[in-house]
Amino acid sequence: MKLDLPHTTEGWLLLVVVAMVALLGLSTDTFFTLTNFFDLLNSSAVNVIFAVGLLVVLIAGGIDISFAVAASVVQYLVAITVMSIGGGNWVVGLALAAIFGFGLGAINASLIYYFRIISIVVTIATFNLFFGLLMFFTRGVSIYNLPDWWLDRIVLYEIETPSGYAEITLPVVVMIVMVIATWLLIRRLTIGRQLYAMGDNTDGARRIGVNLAGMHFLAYGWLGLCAGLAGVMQAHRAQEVVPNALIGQELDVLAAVVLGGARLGGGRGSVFGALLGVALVTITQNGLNLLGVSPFAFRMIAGAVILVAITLSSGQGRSLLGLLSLRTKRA
Amino acid sequence: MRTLPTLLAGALAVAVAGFGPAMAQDAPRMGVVVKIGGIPWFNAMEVGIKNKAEELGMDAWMVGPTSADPALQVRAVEDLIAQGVDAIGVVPNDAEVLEPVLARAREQGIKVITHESPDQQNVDWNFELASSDGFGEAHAELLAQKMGGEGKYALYVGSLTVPLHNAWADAAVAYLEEKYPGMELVADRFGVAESVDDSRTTALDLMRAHPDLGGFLAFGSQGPIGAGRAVAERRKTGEVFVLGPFSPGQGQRLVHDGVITGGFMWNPMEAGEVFVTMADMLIKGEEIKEGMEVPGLGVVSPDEATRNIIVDQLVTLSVDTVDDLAAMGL
Amino acid sequence: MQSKQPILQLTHVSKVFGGSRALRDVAFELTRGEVHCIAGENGSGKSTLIKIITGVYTPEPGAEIVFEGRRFDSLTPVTARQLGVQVIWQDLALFPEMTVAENIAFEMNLSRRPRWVRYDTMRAQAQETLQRLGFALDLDKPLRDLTIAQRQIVAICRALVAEAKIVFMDEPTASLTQTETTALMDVVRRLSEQDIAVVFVSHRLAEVLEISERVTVLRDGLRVGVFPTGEMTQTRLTELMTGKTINHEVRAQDRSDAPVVLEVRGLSRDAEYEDVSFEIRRGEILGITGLLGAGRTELASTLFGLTQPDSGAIRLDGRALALRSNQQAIEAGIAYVSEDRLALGLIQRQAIADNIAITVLDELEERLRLLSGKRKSNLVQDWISRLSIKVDKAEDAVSTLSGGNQQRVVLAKWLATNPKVLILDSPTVGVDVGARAGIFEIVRGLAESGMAILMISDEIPETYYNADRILHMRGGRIVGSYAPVAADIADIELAVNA
Repeated sequence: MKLDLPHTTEGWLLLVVVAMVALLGLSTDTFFTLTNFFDLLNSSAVNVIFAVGLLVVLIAGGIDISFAVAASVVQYLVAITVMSIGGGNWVVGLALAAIFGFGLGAINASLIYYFRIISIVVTIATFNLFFGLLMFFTRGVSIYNLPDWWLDRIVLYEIETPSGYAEITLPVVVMIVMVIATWLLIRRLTIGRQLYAMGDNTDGARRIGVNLAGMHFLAYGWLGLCAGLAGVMQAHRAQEVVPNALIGQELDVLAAVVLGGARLGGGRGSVFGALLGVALVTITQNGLNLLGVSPFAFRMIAGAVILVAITLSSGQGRSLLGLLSLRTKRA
Repeated sequence: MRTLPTLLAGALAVAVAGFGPAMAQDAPRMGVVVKIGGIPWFNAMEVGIKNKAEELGMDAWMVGPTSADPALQVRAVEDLIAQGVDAIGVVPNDAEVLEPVLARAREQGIKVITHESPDQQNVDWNFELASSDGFGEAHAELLAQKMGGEGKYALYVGSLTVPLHNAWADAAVAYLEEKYPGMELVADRFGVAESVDDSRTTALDLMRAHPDLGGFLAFGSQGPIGAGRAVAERRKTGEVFVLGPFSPGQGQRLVHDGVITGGFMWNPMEAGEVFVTMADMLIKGEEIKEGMEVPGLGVVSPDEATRNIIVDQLVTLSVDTVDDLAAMGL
Repeated sequence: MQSKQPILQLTHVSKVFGGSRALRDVAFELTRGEVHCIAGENGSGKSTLIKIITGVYTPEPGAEIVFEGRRFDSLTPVTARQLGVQVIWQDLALFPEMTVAENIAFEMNLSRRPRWVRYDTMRAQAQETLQRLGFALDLDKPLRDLTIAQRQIVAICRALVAEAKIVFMDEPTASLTQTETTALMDVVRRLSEQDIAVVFVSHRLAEVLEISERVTVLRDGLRVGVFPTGEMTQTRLTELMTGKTINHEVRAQDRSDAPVVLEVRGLSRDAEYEDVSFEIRRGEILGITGLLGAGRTELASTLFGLTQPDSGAIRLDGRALALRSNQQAIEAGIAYVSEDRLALGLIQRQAIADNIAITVLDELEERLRLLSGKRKSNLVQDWISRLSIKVDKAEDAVSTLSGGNQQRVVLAKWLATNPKVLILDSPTVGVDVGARAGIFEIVRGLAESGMAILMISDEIPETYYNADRILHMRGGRIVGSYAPVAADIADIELAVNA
């Protein structure tokens, strides 16, 4: 039997996702519905925005675990700012989120670049710093009375189906914009290629004349910007700002992006892969709920799915599979 | 290391004790160590403590550690012992860790009262404003009534490892099985109710998997909020009922929109008052006995063996009560 | 050879680091399209000179740099690049995850302001550049899938895309095979034909003389002189670089009376070597030469127990050996100094002392299985003095040593096991010419003390002047045997390179 096996991590991951989608489509009558598809989009929007931001940092050879907490900080900063200027609107809110987010990312970038501290150490420190400051100044108090523009759900497309209303909401649009923007940045713009170069071979990039300081600000700033927007979207979806709502999310997103083929250490990774990584995690959760699997088994199954996916898409797993197919060919 | 709030609380206590004109030198003194300072729940408890202390002529204050760390609580209790208070109240983060230091307090004749810690050793009394059975059953009954006694429902807990939430859930399920055989649980409980996002996503999935789902019973403060948002999004307000304990301020809007039907909680302000009332009684040497009526607790039946006083002083969360509760900052 | 018009002239270039003068009033001249070699031992000032030309270092005041008639006191990396100075670094500075095309044409991604990436133009440019050099590579392949030699081509193409007028190559053949080296020499000639000057830095004197038109010799920061390579010999060049006269004399002796230590009979291993038979006697140095790929290193691997032969026999002191691992080989008394010292022979980041002691950890263990610090330091000091290794402290990392001293550390490490047979695979790779003689002195001393030595090398003079007998390997077989006392070196070279 001749099988055309995929060559890339993304290819393998796509195979796993497709297999899972097929399986769920066959075993439930609710998976392949427009409402479910739109729900998946709506509920992964925030994570996808985080993921494409983190992807850029990973490609540039860094890592950041402070972004989810930074998003919470941005939520508060935006909320306080718009309330102090008398309400604001979406344009103001998103602009503020982008600016504050970029600013927090720039703090990481300058610590990493100018003080030559490795990124994981810096971002563990800023993770604690951001969260500590947030708890200190908010005293842990949530904000429930956000301005109306922020709370009112914006449905951009809706259709009534037998299984209920299917809607596309604002976070999905922001997600699509950020996905396209990130793709343009890293694939289509020269500065994006310089980011890859820096992550791939920092010394080589320096010698050929890549501006490493600029690249650091670009990468961490971009993640900060994405985190800021994701934060505002999360607050929009949850209709409240809670200081610890996003803490812990960073590891889920990191796992998804690495699953999608981004290499810790830099130089490799794609938007498509990051999307697949998030999709795999989201679809697993969705499928477990739809299948009516006991929640006590959720973590076990989710862990197993991730392991299978990562084994298949890593070189080791691939050669293992190649070996197996060789055995069967000989037999 | 002493934490700042502890120091401040101590300094404040000394200042109040030393210079407070109204406080007689022999006014009984009590410190209540709570899980964590600065959050609305314990802010309300502090109000209760202060009000009741003033009423009874006691000097009582609250100590709130900066984080929910058992070690910080131990330190705070040690400080209170050193100050020579007459009574110590604790809402423990970890019952076991506190045992030695509470034993030390009692050796020195200090009265020790805990709250929300039914297995606590070395206490004069532990009191609960809600029994796990009573709390679970009250929610179950309300859900059954709203759903007309039949249909499918889903169950959330904060996480699959929170003992209290699971005890409530067990009680609710057992109650519904017995009283309302027409009520059907769609799956095992979901451990999502500590996150609005997870509660919401899970609710969306469950409503899809079970189009005839009639209700969510969510134990865990974010559960009703997340499930409520999902119900609103799916435009099933009034078709799918959402019940459970939640922060009134957070759920206020959803209750008024009719998305969250209601639930029960106990009042932390009330708990604060009970701390002081019981301390006052113990310091005066009054014994708490079966059938006695204690302000804030009602008629009690203390369990001499486990040193527990458990009552069901539930506060209803509904359209009528939520605004007042929210106004208290809860 | 193209016009004699100078493209770069440096005069009065000096550089002081701290108190020491790395360069003293050095002059350097390069003509358009010339292939020029800078020769010198480590510390002679070669790399300082290159870094001044590429703008990494600023020379002391008084220096004059004239580039195509334009005068500079010093250069910066940016101006050097703009003038057309490109360096092919030893580590190549390429991007392994990117495609060949993007690596070659990466210069196009370096606009000051963000622009759209033009993949098509990049591909076209990469294709065109490869064609200029007469190479074909899959443009869409990621660089990491290429061999070192192919990557070097990519690096050279990248220099061409940047419109290089002068290309510096730093030890470009260090990790190439013979065939690849020959191919690289072709590329260098093509560059020269296209009027691009190539400055070559290499330890391999044969290469230097073969490829370059002129050679600038540096010694201790001074310029010894510029010489046309046409009239230069390896011996003369070595003397210029070291300042010492080296006596090349055949030292081979007839050892046929001594007892046989290692005997190999009919040894074969599929696709590696076939029917190999020889013996080494007590105190004898047996040289094996031949082109790369002749099966020499593979044979050595088997003798050291790393691979097992398909057929044939190995006998040590008359007893048959069936080695299943290198551990068994060490126990039997066989030591192996590998060709790839950097990767296999030494743990570069660890202390010199630890590297020497690593093979004899067992012996240093006392009761309670703890390492005896005192015994270890005695052993280490002993070897440092016996092999005259130049070290500051035995605790310094191996990477701080020069190539020659690193090779001595490897030797010390293996000699500490007190072997009967010592296998040396290309013992002078990466070792300064001046330091080579010292290594061979040690090797001959070991032989005198009764050790049997198998020396593998593709530098024929090395074996000719140091071995007692020479075997010639080709295609996995032994095709010739020479005794240096009876044969002429030119005949052997002719036979090997045929």
